[in-house]
Amino acid sequence: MDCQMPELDGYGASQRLRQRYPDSGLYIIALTASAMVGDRERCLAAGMDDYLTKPLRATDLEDALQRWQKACTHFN
Amino acid sequence: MATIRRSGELLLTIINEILDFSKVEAGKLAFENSDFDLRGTLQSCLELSAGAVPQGGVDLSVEVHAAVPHCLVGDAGRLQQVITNLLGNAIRFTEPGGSVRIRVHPREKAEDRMFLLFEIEDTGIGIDAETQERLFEPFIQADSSTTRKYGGTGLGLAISRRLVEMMGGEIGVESEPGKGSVSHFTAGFGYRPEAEADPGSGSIALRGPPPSESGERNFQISPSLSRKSRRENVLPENPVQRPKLLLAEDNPVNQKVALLQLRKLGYAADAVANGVEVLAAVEQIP
Repeated sequence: MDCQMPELDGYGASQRLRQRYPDSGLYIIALTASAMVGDRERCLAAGMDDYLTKPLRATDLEDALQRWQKACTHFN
Repeated sequence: MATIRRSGELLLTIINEILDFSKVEAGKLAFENSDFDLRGTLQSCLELSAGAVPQGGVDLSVEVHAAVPHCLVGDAGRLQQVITNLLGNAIRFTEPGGSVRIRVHPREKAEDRMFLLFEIEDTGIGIDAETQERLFEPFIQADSSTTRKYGGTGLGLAISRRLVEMMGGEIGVESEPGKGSVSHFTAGFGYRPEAEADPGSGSIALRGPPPSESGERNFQISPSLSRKSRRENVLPENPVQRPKLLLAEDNPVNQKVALLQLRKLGYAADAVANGVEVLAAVEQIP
């Protein structure tokens, strides 16, 4: 989920997803160009589960997907 | 903005093609050998090429013969490179309202290796006989004015030919000017018997439909993926039996890059361009 998008950004979309589907197994990985202090917290506060910065590196993406798989297995 | 983006994209394509070409020429191109889902790869090819579809739309469709195994062993990324290249050409030279079809048929089957025939048929401007012979040489285009009108580096087909040769196959084209072209290639892959193909274990579907059993039918991706409809296009079958991913990214170049990276990691994903589309896409999940 890119954080900076037109119309409804990633923060807003995540908040709404969490409100609408509170108990779903949805897993949201934030993708943001701003590697600012506090940005990660902002993403997590919006209901996202993980956080990646741009430019997106394949290894980082792979790690994030593995964290997700772990989270899913744990969840089940 | 759109122009800057397009120019950047084109430059990136040229650089990548030159890099690839020099690697192929130097014999330094590494080939992966891992399991992949052919139908998922074809879907990615369509998604990647959909951006090239002109306003007015070109009818894109894929047909995979039922005897083609679901799980193949080879380099999905390189196969995708060849297909998107041929597909890109087919789309580029086809006027709005025309059609481009991909067909995949089994050719020869050895004990652990299978050769497939890929055909990409378009209703485009066609290529004359003389050019057909030179088409797969580096830096050849139908004529120099082609570059200006239709774009392209002239390296794509030369790279494709080398890649196909590395997959043990041959590439060619049949065409009649004004009537369209059929480019085709063969390629060899390892394959798993269907009984073992189901990854079942470790599948951690997040949400979304269970993989459907479509063994008897031909796999089809249609109807047309036009510029307008491609985002909403929801495929009836889950192409890769992995959890469902949705990519939300408004920049088309970043979107393509992320989809490619996911593809390389073995994930298929749908893509949307803003939060509103995210909510709409999630709503559609049963």
